Amino acid sequence: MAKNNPIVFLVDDDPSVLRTLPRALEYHGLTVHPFDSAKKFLESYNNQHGCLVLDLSMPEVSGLELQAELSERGITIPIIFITGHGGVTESVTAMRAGAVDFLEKPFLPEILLERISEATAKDFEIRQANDEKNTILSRFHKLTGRELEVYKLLIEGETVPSSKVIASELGISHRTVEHHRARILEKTICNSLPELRVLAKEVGFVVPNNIGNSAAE
Amino acid sequence: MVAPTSLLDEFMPHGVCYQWRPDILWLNVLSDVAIAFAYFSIPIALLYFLRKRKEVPFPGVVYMFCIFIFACGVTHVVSIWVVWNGQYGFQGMVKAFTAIASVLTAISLYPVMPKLLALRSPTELAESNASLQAEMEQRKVSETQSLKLQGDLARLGRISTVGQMATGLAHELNQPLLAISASADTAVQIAKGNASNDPLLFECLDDIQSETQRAGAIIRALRQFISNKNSARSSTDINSLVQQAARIMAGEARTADVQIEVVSGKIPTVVVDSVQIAQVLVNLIRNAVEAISEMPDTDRLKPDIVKVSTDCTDDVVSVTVSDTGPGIGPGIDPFKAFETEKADGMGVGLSISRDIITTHGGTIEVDASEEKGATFTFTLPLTEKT
Repeated sequence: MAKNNPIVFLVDDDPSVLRTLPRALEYHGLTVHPFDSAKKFLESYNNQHGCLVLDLSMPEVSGLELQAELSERGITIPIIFITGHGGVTESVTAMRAGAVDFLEKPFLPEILLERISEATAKDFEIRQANDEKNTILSRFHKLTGRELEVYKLLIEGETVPSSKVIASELGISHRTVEHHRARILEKTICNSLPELRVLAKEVGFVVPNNIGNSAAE
Repeated sequence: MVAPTSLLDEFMPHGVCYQWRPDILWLNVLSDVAIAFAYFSIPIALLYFLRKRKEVPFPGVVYMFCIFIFACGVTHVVSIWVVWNGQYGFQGMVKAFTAIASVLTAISLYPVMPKLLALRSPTELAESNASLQAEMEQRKVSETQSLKLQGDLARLGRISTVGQMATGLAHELNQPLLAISASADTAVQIAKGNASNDPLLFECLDDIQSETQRAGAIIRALRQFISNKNSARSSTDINSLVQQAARIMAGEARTADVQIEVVSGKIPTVVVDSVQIAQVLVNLIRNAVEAISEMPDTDRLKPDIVKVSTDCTDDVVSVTVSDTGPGIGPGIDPFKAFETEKADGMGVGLSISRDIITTHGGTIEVDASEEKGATFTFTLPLTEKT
């Protein structure tokens, strides 16, 4: 994923808007994928980076309904609503549901460009944060079975238990525990056990269910 | 003295009894004269009363009173006559007639007594008069209110129609305006690519852009102006609004042979613009009545019923208008402006209704899944949402 090729997805049922608006945006160097219905957009969208410029009132699936559907699918693409109606009620609903912006037609193309760049930047941030999280999570996933057992005991309690406690709990030697502990910190690139605990919480890493239970036997 | 042979035989005059003593004689005679006069005058007064007052209860009894009192007067005249003329048989006959009249009057009085007692006293009459008057005044007040509401509705109908047209126009016009604006922008980008272009070209394209935006601003202002129609909200009993709306529609419903049935639930008052909500009600009822009346006679239930019922939950008051009409055609969004199945209609009524209900923080929806008819339900929040 690169920051410099965001895609603007435009969903509007009006053919003249669908023809002229992408043309204008493309002349400003943007990549635009136009759709004349929410359904067609949903069929083709594959979690690409960018933003969604969405007409509020369309037949069949309205803009608000598409917004709800996306949120249900866990798709976080920022939405800029455009409307020829300017309905107060709908705009409030849309903004409450997390739309980034609401523009009344006809707007200046440069204003839309501004909002698009804000929205794509936001999308980039979200994706970057997600990527970071995934990178860290992938480090946690490198932990082996025995390491995970040690890790679980290190994380679970109010305070960090000593190697001796862990050793007796798992029925292994105290030196082996210390060895595993060092490997855990190494693999997750953490300097200390407190740092490890904070990081684990941040990325929401959960030890798989089958780990630890068997060790307690 | 002659032996008696007939009732009219002459005897000693009565004056002889008191040896023609002037004091006793005149005391009796003058008293009788006075009594006779009084007794003759009373029936005259009664008859006069009867004649002037057409609706006197039990006039028969009054006539009997007249005869009896008149007869009493005559007996007193005869009393004077017998002072000088001893025809006591004649006096007896007069008395006998009087006796018959008196006894009959006395008897006739008892059967009518309960009815007489049932007659209202003048105070009672005054009281019921007053309450009648109060009721009339009350009626006048509610009539004025109902007239005012009707006037308000008519005015609101016109305003809303204009508003709806503006909203519809705004939506339709804003699309081409955006297309123009986008195209002008593209043209500017293209023109920039050629340095030899006349600066006037850029000026023209700028003008196109700014005029397009101005047109958009005008439409926005128009819509704002119309949507800001002074909405006066107050605590309102929706049940009484339903009654009013049903009354307003009663004439049209009768003409179409449709019955409007109102089922008032126990609901609290809500803070709404009563004229606007009444308009929604009238609109829904009218739609139902019109839908039914446009059906072919063979499909009619006669009488068809439009049922308006109210209900509530913890959060909302709901009103349901259901009819036995033809329902809603497939693919028709009844709330969309300019979309109608009616032969003569703009298709804006329901769209206005939806606007009104939404600005009140409520919802309106239709259920046409039943085999016959359509059911519209709108809700109004119990607590005002901003």
